[in-house]
Amino acid sequence: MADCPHTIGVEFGTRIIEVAGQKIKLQIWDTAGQERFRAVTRSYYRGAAGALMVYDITRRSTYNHLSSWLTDARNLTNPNTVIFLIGNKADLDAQRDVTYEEAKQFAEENGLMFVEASAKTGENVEEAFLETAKKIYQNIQDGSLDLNAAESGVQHKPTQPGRTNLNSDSQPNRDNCSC
Amino acid sequence: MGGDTQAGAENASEERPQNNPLSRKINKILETRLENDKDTLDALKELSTFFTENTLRSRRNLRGEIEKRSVGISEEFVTALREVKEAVDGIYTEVSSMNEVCVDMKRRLQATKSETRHLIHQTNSLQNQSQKLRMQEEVALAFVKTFQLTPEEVLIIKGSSREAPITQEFFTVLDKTQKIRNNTKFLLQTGHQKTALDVMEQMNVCREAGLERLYRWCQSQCRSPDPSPLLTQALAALQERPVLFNLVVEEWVVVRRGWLVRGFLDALTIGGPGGAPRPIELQAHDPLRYVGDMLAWVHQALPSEREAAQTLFAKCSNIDVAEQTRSTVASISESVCRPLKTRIEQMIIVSCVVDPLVNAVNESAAGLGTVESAVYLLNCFHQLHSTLSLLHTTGDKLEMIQGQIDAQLDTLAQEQISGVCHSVGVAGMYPFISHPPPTPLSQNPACQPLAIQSFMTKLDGYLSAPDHLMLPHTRLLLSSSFRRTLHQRTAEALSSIYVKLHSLVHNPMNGYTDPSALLPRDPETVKNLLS
Repeated sequence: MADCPHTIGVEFGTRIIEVAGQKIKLQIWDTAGQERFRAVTRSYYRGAAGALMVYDITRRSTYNHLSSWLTDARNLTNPNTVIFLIGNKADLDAQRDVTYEEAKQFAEENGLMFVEASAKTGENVEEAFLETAKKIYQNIQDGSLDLNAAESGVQHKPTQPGRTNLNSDSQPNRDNCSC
Repeated sequence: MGGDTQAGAENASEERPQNNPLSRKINKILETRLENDKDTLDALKELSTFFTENTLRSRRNLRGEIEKRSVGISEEFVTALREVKEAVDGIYTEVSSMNEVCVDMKRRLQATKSETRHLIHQTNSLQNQSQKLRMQEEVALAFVKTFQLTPEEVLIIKGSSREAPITQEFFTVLDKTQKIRNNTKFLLQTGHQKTALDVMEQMNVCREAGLERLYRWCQSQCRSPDPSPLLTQALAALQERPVLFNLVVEEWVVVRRGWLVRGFLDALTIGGPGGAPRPIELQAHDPLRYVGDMLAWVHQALPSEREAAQTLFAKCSNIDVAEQTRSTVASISESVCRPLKTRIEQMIIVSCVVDPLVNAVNESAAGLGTVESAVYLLNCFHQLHSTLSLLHTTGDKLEMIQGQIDAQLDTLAQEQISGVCHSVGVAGMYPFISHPPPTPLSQNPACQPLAIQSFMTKLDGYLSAPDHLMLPHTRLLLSSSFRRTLHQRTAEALSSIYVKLHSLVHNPMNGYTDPSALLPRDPETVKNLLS
């Protein structure tokens, strides 16, 4: 992880995945986790359909910050925004500082989806994005997310009907390496 | 009677030789074996029935009777033969009539045959004609297929009604008209000029109508929040009419400008569904947050606009898609400039920005050397100064920045002057020039005539190319007026040194033997040359 560059401010990427036979394009806004970028990054919560909150399982300090990140995420997004908690560096089990059960419990108490992943090996990285997209898609299907509402974070892709444009706000806590 | 004849013959044979014809005949008769001659026996048996009694009369009448009977038989024969003849005559008549019929039939057949020959001839020629016509029909059909549109295709191109939607078939037919236009060159090559021109004209009319319709459809699609996927293809087809193409792009820009600015204003004043996230304007008390939110909103809106534009132009081959996308997105995003600008202007411009910025710039320069730092700071302050000078009510800030600029210019000028002094070899003399010692200056090692001579040579060099000795960093100064100021100050400094040195050298107290040879130039000349 040491050779993985830190995110500066906000970085942007896209990714097309398939959910229930529908092609969904994720716009991924990768925001820096360092405190000094917070003034910039917190502006990127609004308009997100989903947020991936990443901590480092080998560093408890990153885990301890979660509640403040979560407060931001809750306050600055719309109520339907799907929040996914991700424990990164699952490959470094020997250096683990936060147990799976503890984080799982935190996620359940706060209504978050949760998975441990490894950006290094790629384990569960794809799944995390896929699950987030699935959940958002579900919210659209059952009507809890209204595409016509302002700042839903989701739009029908213009000129290509049948495709949905998700705006997923990846919000890595520290040492972000999420895909 | 037989007994008689036999007796007579026996007698004759005894008396006469055998070669007597009569005897021969008699012998022959005698040798005749009547019982073996069936015909004679039958004739005799028949004769015996003529009479029942062998009487004289009967014998006398025998011949008559035989003749009578012979006549009777002949008469019977005649009668029977007559019947046969009549029957044969009848057959003859019938065969004759049959013959006549046959002849007639033959004649008729002959007539029919000659008549039929004509018919066959006619039929053959008709058949040939029909074949020729069929071939012509095939050629005509092939021509129509190659050079004409079917009524259905024309309908697809021209649309059954004004509102008829554009379909995939539309583009197929549009392509076909183009193909036909290309194919007319074969007609031209084969000498069918008029046909070629007619076909060309037809196709042009059709395409014109089609493209006009396509243009109207595109206009309406641009206004739809969920445009048809065929829009990409439509834009590609409209490329050949740049006017229509640009009108569609304009419509696209206008519509999306409206959406973008409405979305922006909604985010500013309404926020998300049910007020979450909260409207951006609620943050107006916190300038950093407020402006940050607005800029982030615009930042996040633009990838979608770029993608939509990229998709729109994806199939266009005649234009620079990247450039067209860029300019389109730029025109669309320009719409949020005004609301963004007015809000940012209301919020901050100057103390919030300038002071932290000046601090940040000073901090960032901390690690640099004196000259580098001065050049860097002068460049930064120059930019800041020129930006701020466009605004009103920034007088005090401008003054502060000008002060910083002056200070940095002083620093840089000092460096520059000392550098030039070193280069022209006057640095060593300088302390004695500014504060002349009580002893004659010519005896000071730093100010020996040789040193002064060398200075004069280098000064001449400097005078001919003053830029040569300027610090290389000063070429990086953005402002030409800064560079000019530096030049001036350097020149002034050198000039004043020269004036002092000139008067010292020309002072007899300092013991220089030939002052005019050492410093041949008049101080005024040097001053003029330096400026």
